[in-house]
Amino acid sequence: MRAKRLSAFLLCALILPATPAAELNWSGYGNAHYMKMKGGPELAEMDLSDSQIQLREFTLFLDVVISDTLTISSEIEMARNGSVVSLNYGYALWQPRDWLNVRIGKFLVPFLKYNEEKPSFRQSLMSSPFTATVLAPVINPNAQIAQGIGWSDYGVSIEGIWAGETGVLSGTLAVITGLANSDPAALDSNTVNFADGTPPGAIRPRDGLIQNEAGTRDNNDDKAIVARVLYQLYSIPLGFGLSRYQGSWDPNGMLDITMTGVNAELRYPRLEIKMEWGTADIEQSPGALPDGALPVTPNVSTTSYTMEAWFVEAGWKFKQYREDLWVKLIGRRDEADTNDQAAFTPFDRTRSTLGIEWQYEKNSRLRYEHQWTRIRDFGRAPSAVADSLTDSPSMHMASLIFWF
Amino acid sequence: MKNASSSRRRRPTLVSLLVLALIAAAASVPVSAGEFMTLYSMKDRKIWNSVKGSLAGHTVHEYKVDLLAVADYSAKQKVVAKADQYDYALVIGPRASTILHDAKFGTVVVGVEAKASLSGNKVVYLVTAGMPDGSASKVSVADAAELGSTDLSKNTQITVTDAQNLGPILAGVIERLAK
Repeated sequence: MRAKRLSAFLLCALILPATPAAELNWSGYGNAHYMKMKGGPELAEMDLSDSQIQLREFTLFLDVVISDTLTISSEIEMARNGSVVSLNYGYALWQPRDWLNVRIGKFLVPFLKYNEEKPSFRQSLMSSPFTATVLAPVINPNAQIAQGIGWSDYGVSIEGIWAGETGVLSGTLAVITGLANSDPAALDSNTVNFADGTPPGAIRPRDGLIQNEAGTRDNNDDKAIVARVLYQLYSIPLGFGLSRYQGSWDPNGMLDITMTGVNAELRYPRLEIKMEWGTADIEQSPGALPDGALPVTPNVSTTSYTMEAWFVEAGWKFKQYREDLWVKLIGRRDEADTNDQAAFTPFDRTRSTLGIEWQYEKNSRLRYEHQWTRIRDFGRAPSAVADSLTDSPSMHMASLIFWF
Repeated sequence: MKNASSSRRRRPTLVSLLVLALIAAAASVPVSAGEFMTLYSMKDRKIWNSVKGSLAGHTVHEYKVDLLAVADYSAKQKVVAKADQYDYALVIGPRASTILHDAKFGTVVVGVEAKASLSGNKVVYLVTAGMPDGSASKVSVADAAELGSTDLSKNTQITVTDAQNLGPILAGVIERLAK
């Protein structure tokens, strides 16, 4: 057996270099941070006010150029000190023309802009805006996150880009597995259990839409369709876009999520302003959870509902002492309206975030951010929760970000 | 139990195949002599049009870097990976060099009226206005004939004193680099 394996090694070593030309290119990024929340909820699983130090992400991009028109592209992400390893994307990219990109496999969902710009070295704040955490499941806010970080999905996407006289126009159409929940009755069937013994179900999480990560198979035969149009002007550094998502989330393929979003970015060399707004219409049937694990709860007491989220962010490099070395101030305001009419949700919030970022080397930065949250729905909180939780938790975070 | 045992035996070979495939892919570099990938912005296409004719006879693949403005964060590295398959990456104009300023090319880069922020196996800048900084050795030429003794074995900035001759001087630089 050992001899056979050795032969296989040698055979491969001889044959593979002679196979059709291909080139492997790699790069990556990572970040480590310290985070401390004040007034955060004490969940049954963990106290969110406890501080943490972690290697948040360490990521490798691998691109293999098979031919002039075919590239195999992947992003392998090791998150949370390496305890979560996931393929953020992995797809075959066919480019018969520079203006035509066809992706097959697992790719970043082209909805709004943040999802495709989320890496820490591309952003000015570590925390994610609510359009990402509530509508598009870019960062899963669930404390028990087990899957990858990033909204990517399986399917096919076709993107056409046209560089004209006044700007660049991009149109993307993707057919993907889509957002899903195995529960046929309620999309927001998540639970948040507080350590103080508040009864399960008394809190309606509605902590964001759920990514179908169970596997490559869809949970129904109804694929989701995502369409997006982006336009970037030449005369001023202004870009804007319109996104649309539609697909059924339940196993029976009867209940739809429909999302619409707009995004805009103004990027000067030292000043940038960006915003996203999105709304999600969720069809849902009222009733008890079918598995009987939970009692009839407010989670399923209402039928269809609409969520909305937005953010506006501005960054200013107030000190630039070389092209790649600078200090930047960042401010962001974001809001999530979970539109819960029945029960308290701690995820119906507004946040203000201030940050300062120092790019002290060409490929690494230090960043500090402070965030103030206001839980708008606090008046409806069960008394046990209201006693132990503040309506205005805050958080601060210091990060080291690097890329290569 | 038996199946589990045999699958354990097979696994190292599969992993080895994958590792070898990656190593082999990294090691083999496809190159066709005299081929260019030209990267330019629509904003600077006048510069490209002014020198394009001097590359007649070469295979040139044109790429508009403006496409990157609406692409995801991985698009730039893919374009660089593609450019690395060519003998030369020709970066035209300040806008293209700004967009590609943190890209690391694995091929020879020729910047025409580009900012001095490009990185590659070797970088040669051709400028008429002295834009690049002093990180490269500098020479000034008026026409292609004056390139004769210019050492292009390392990063070089060539200042073209007669802008009319930018195209012929570019052709001369390519000819010298190919030797």
